[in-house]
Amino acid sequence: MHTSTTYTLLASVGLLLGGCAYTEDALNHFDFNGTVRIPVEAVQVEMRDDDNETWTIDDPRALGPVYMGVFPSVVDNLYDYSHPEIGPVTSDGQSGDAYPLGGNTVGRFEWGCYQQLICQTVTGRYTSYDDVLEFFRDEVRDPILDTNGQEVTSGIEYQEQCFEYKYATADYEIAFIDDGQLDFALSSDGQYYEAETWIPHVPYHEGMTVWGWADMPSEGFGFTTCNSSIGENVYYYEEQYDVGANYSDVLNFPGTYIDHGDYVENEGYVLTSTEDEFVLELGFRYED
Amino acid sequence: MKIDRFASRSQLALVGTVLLGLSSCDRDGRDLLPPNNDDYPAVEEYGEVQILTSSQFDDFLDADDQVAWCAEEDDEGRPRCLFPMLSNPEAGVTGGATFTFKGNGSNVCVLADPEAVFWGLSIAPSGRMDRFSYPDNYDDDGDVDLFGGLSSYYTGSPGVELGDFKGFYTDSAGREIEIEYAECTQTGYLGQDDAHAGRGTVEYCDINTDEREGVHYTIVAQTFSVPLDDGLLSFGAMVVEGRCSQKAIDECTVLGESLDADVNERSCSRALELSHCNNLNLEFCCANPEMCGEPDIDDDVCGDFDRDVFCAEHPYACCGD
Repeated sequence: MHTSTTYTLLASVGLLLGGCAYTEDALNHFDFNGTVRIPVEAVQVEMRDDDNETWTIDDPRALGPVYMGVFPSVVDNLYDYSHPEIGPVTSDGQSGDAYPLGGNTVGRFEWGCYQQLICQTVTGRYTSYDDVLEFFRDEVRDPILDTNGQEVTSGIEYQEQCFEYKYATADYEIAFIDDGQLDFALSSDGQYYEAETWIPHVPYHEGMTVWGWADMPSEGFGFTTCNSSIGENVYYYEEQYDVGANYSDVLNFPGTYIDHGDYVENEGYVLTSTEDEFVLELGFRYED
Repeated sequence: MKIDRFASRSQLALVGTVLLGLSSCDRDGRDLLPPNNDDYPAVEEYGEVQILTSSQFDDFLDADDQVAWCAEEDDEGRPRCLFPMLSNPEAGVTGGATFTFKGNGSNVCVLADPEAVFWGLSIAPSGRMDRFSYPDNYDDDGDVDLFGGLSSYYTGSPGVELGDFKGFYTDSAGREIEIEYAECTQTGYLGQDDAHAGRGTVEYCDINTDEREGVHYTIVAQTFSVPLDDGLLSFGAMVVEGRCSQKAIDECTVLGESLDADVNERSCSRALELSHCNNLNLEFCCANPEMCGEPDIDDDVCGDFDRDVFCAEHPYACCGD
């Protein structure tokens, strides 16, 4: 009797363990690793102030988010640059949907804690608060001002502002400050800024194509893929504003957002295996 | 012996429970299902209608008999507008009416108003909305949901089977992607897409026919609910030039859409709608209780309501005088 109970118990445990043997191998979804390359000249951004004075920023901190998507194919007859194939046009003034199979970004918009930085700060670009202050003061030539209109000159003050407005208690909660490795690093031959990246959980279809572009800043350091009227809301005494966030359909309608100065992948990387590691070379500068 | 006695008690308890259970099944809810009306179809195609001009729309609003006014046809045999009548569909069948119009190259407003008027009873112990403190007659209300788009995208068989405006796009990777081609879209109170109005309430939408002059559009008024009292759903439907927002569309745009099987306006239904549009639901029900639901016997919502005084001031709201 004792032996049969033991056997029954063991069999039950075995069945239970067998039920846990399921893995996701049966799913046709895969993570694709890859590299994004941007020519060094891409970070030379022409700027213009209200007095029509012009200057050039030559700094990788000026890079906006890089958008990568996996699409059925990429064609060259829709826009002045390569672009994913699109579905039927169903709305006036709106192109067809590119129906991406998946996507990711290298860097994303993260509000920089002061109102003037809405839609201007991107993750993976700055190593410290002082780094941000220096970039906007010396490169963008638009020093960061506090709510009283006084220039912020101290990283400590900047940190305190972020902790106050983002309800944070540590720097790791401030996503646009990264004291570790930044997204992009100069390649060994000095020709590119490179980033290791991945696109997660993509349903695989042989021949699908990885394609993308870098949203580069305008002459006033604005980005077309950021909507300043959405995102979290600051409600702090007399301050009331939205902090901005990405438009949600940038991969569905890339042509709506790509504008002058953006760097676009030429042809796309065709995936022929689930083991493929893609390389995106954003080598085409779009001139409107 | 002890065990036997226990089993006997258990069996008695079981039998008692079964009997109690059976006695609680003395109703099957069929009274909540509308009957079918064999004299009318559940799915019907009404052909092409005119697009009313703004002037015609004003004439429609002023018409004493909107049903007769709508039935007037133009040289092409197209009625001005429609008052479809549909039976409750058989189980498993989607009922509804379809009709078409030709694009005029500009915006048009499509509207449908099902019978009759519905409101939710206000029963709040405090802050009660007195206007809705008398219950609605739930049995005389129907509901249609409005859809529309290019006829070329319509998947139904007019008069036989209702369809939709969904199409499929196959991309180069072989994926079949569903695309919604319907153009008659309505936005809900909270901004949600693809909304529809509820029982007895008018629905309307804009369709932009720019660059599609002369192109056929199909409108689908899908049956959502049929009045319980006769199993016959009637409603008014039309297409008017211009945007809906340029018109004051409400429950009184279409009057008298509550029709009986002989296509006669139901007695007092017009008074019900006019009273609703004038925020007089409570007074109307107190004056014409046969047109409303059954109030709780302990809830004297009419109080010292004086029918004679009310009817003298609001003659349109009183029936049977």
